[in-house]
Amino acid sequence: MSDLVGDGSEAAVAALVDEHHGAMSRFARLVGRDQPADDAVRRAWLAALARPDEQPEGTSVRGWLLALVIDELAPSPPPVDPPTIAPPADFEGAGRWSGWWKDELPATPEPDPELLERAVGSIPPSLAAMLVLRDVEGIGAVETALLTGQAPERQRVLLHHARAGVRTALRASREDRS
Amino acid sequence: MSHLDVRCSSIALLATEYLEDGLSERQRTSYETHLVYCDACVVFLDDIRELAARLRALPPDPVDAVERRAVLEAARR
Repeated sequence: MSDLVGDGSEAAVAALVDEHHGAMSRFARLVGRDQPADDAVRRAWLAALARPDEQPEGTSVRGWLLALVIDELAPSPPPVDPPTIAPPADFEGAGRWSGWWKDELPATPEPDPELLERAVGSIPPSLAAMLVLRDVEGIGAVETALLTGQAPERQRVLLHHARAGVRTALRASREDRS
Repeated sequence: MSHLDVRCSSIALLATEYLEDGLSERQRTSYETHLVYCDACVVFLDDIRELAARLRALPPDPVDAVERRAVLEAARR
């Protein structure tokens, strides 16, 4: 990032803000929930601009800025009760077919962005953080490990619980509307 | 984990492992064999795959002009 900040000219900083601020706000809103997203994002910018040469090697500017937003949000505990992969009622509970789907599974209909964000907001914040880094931002497993300290194997577990939780929330919202 | 439990509940549990190449070759073969005869698991896997694609398409928030100015002013100090 120090290359991009250069001599700290307003134009250089403005270009960075224009490129990353919207994603940082979205991240703070989806992960921070009722915490003031603007404050966390502003403090993250100040931290980044004060020490641009401290961006960890192997990380992107976007990834580092999002990690700084995480630092500025109140820490969220690991989920005590992570979402199940699917509602247990979807599976046969006993007998020869225990653990198999009960019925044919209808595909989840395509949600609009607002509904999708609401579903992300329904899963535990620590899972939402992993989901946004990996799926929304498209940050790879190796970089996410550098940013969060979560090994790729653990990331896959968290990511899957997050995805499954969002899927379950989308299906529930569809059933509520029908 | 070398042996793969091929009940649907386990196949569903491992969908992201499968999509991110986290399974061994042997487990992957068992996984894909299950998919050949289980339409419901194919639907579940497609749901997870498509969900990731839809999340990737979410737009960032618009940049608030007041916040933008506040960051630029703070950077100037």
